[in-house]
Amino acid sequence: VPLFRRRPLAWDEATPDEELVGQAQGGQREAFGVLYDRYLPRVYRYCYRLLGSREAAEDANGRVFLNALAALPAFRARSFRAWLFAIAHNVVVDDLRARRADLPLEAAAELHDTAPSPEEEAIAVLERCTILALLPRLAEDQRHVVALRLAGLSAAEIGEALGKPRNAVDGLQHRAVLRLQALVAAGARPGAERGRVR
Amino acid sequence: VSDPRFDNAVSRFWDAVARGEPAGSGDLDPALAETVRRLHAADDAPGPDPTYARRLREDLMHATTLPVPLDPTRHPMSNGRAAPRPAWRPALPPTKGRRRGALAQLATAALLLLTLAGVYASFVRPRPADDRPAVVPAAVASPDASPAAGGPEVLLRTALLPDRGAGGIELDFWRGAIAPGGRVNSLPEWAAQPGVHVDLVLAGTMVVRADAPIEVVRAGAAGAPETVPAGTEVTLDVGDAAIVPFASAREYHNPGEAWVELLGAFVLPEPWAPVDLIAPNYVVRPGNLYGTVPAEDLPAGPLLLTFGRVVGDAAAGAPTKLAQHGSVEWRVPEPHGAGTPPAGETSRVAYVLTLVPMDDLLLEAMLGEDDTLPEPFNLQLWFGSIPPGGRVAVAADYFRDAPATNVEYVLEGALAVRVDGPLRVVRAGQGGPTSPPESIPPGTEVVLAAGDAAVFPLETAFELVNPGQTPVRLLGAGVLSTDFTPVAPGYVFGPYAFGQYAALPPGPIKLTIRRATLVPGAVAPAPAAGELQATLAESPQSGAGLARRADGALENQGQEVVVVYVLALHPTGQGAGTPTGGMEAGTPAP
Repeated sequence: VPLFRRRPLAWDEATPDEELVGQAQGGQREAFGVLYDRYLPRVYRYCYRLLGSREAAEDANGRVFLNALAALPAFRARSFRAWLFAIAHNVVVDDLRARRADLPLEAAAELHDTAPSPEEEAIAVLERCTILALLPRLAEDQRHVVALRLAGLSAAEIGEALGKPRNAVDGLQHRAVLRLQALVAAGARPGAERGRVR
Repeated sequence: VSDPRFDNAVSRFWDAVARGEPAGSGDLDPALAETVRRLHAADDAPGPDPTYARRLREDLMHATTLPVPLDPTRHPMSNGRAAPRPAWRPALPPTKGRRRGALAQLATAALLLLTLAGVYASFVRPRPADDRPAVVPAAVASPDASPAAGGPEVLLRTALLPDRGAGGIELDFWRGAIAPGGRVNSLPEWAAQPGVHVDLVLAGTMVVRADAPIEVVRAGAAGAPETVPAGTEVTLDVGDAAIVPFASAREYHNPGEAWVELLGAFVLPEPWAPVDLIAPNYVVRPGNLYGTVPAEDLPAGPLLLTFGRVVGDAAAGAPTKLAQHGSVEWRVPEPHGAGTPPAGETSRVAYVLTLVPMDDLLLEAMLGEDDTLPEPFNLQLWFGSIPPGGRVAVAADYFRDAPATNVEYVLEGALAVRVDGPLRVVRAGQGGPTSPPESIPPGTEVVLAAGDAAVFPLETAFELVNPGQTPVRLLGAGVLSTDFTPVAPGYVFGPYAFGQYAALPPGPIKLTIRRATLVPGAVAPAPAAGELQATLAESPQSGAGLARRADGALENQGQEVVVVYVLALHPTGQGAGTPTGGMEAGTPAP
């Protein structure tokens, strides 16, 4: 395909992601740089939310963009944003699994629930004044959906990123919100029974 | 417990919040809506450190990476998880925790990460109209993206003019040897058989004498033969080759104290008399190949014969014969007992014979009123490729300002094509390039193999997919609107050449693509009256030796064999096309 266009080789804030991808696939590395500029903050914050430290977020974030650069020639998804966050999700999941694998055997017995106690939750809520402190209390798949939501993805894009049908994503986020709502209430009343809304 | 009836209500509300739209909770529990709002309002994750962000960007702009191996049976999104994680360790700015051992990681990354050569080696370049020279030789001078790149080491390349009609040929290819002091004489019954006998010396020294002229190609002579008169002895050293008429009476002599190792071939036009083809004292090593190449695999006319050598893992395997329209490739491994490898080990060396017609019609298609023929237009040829699993999807409006008739000819690999408009396919295996095209219904996917071609308008939605495990290499051709900038989303765009014309005469037009092999000094004839051409050299380096003569003919003034592709329009109506400029060659800029 000759793929000639009258459009000059240039881009601006309004240039669609997929057009930048096409130019990057055609050898314009700087077009990938524009995508990097566009998505770095969101990807970084996504990694930070789920991994919990700047160091881990930087490490994971770097791998996300390098993986994306390497996989770019094979980009076939409809949405670049969903595709990029699919990579981010996989990198984060790999990191979380690696953390568990690194734990000594004697610590494994405590892995069934690493979430803070209701008292700790309440303190966290009071200290940070944010509902986000309760994210670790969500089930893992709910937590990922919320993190992707906070990264700006629509439900459809989350479905594409996670490889889940739309109704599954809808259900996960609904349950996540219910759970957070209940946890906030429990945080306001330390000592409330845990897991009631599971 | 969540109620599935409200799952979607939460989703819609969240979408609206994410878009920054004022959203009422509607049927949603106001408490849930407030929870969603609070989540967004409370997002306090810090942004990246600016120094880190800048360094990572610089690294990415200069990173060399390993393309993700695609497995089409897996998830269609290649999102990095298919590759082993260590391969993705980048040369990233070390975080505090990673600084220890970062050097080792970088070293590992440097070893593991390879260049996205297939994709990032081809680039795009705006083509300003004002820098076009009035006349430019129709040849490409480009250091990259030749379809022939990466093939076997060429040991011999020579033109053969076997006296044959429309029939096939008897082909024999072997590793041979002559013992120290040994003499080999041709058999009397060979005297009536046309064809040629080729021997290339791999080791030792050999003396040849024949009662007919011998064409000798010296090692490193890049295909330029010297003619040895009949009855004259000629000494061949390592790398030298002798091409002798098969019917001649001849003697091969090994005057040395070591074995002479040879790579040999008979190219004998049919019909041939089934005689004994092995002369006494000529040792044929195990693994030789022989058989008939049918005419449909090798069109009539002069042939280009190439001997090549493959070394390494690619050399493993049994003797193989490959044939497709327009080329024959036979391969024999270095046999045991011939020095390498020791018995019982896998061969690390193989020899390859290829035969291609020196003037081969690849495609012939009629263009008519139903085809898009813009005016003025560029008649353009280019090399392209799509990596394994790669997909090029073009929407209907993508080329709405760039109407064109587009041709994709598959040089190597497989290509799946789906067009939401008229699509014609010419298959090499079903009647050859002059057979009537097959009309494919809109929206129907067809898979093309090497030698097949697809013709379709650009200004319709279409999709090209490489379903194979190796890159599909394409020769693109088109009657294109002028003054476009090439962009290649998913399509690796290689060197190109074009001629610019103002208009075509009315009436049906025949489009042809030919592949011509020009030995040093050879001349491709000038275009016929009214014929419009664009010519693209396969080998960019050798293409520099091409020159357009005053009469329009193309001459190979270099010292190497040059393969060129010629796209031509042959108007069948009254009058001829009107050129507005000369031919131009180009290479996507880095």
